[in-house]
Amino acid sequence: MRPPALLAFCESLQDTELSQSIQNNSDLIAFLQSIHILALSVLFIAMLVFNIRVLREKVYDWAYLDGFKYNAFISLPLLLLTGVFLIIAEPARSLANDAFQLKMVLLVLVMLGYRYLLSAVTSQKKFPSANAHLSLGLRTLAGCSILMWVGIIFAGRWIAYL
Amino acid sequence: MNELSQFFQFLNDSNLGVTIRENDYLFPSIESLHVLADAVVFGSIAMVDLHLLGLTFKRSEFTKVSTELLPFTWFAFVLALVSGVLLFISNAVNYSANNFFQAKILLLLLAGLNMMVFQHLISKDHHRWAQPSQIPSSARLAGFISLSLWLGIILCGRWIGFTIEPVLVN
Repeated sequence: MRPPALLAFCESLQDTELSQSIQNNSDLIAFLQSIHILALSVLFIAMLVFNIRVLREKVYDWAYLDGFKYNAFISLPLLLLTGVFLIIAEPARSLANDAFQLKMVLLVLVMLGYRYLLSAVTSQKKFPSANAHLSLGLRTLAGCSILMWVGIIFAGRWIAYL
Repeated sequence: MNELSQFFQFLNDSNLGVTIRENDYLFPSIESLHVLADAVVFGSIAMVDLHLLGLTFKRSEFTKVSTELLPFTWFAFVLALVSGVLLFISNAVNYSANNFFQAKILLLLLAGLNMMVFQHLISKDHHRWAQPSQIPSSARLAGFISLSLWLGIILCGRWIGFTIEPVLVN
């Protein structure tokens, strides 16, 4: 999807001083990409473990699960910040790219799904031990979330090829 | 050294190498799989290392964190290794001559060595580490070294993409 307004926006963003200074420093782009991958790795594994636990209905160990939530909340801002700088550096390569657009759609869906799952799972706190019973719908959502995370990582890599 | 160069050239020119290199979808797909596996390896190791450093899972014991995460690490490591070998075969001559690739392999070996030392020497009494405050300083140091090495591995991996010479198709 490449509407003219988007391409015009990309062009104007690309001409800004900040964009030019990042573009002209390939080391900085590689560094930002590395930090982006690192943050993504931590967020991905936190989400993967959470979703697998929902699939297996093992959501009773709250102090432990909070550790994953903490990791996710730390890495998400870092992921977004480096992502914004990478967009500013190469706006057309990202915003007007089909793989990037797919990645963003999946990211929004997966975070909405996580928020919904988290609130649904938190309501299980009333169960003292391993007696959590999660509906098939919730477990299906957890399975779809894992697949969408895989899609996010694949789409992220395909940005370079489309 | 000459034999090694010949071997890399052999891999480069093999049917498998040429197929991966010249197929529009194969290389990006294997590369995506490699990034996915790397993300799981690094993410899981980073969480264990951050716990050793006392920064995450402050109310959980080490055994619980490592028991849950390490199966992910090993499964993804095998996937990363297989996909990494396939990527290497597609451009073996240039990868083997790339400084960042060489540094990445060296850092991987050091990370493996650090893991072995941790496994066989430092974490022998890990069942006593019920709280993060009971984790000994040797284990914290191993966690810090591991985290630093893996950061280096990811950085080198990304820089390979910016410095590798592509194979020119005739």
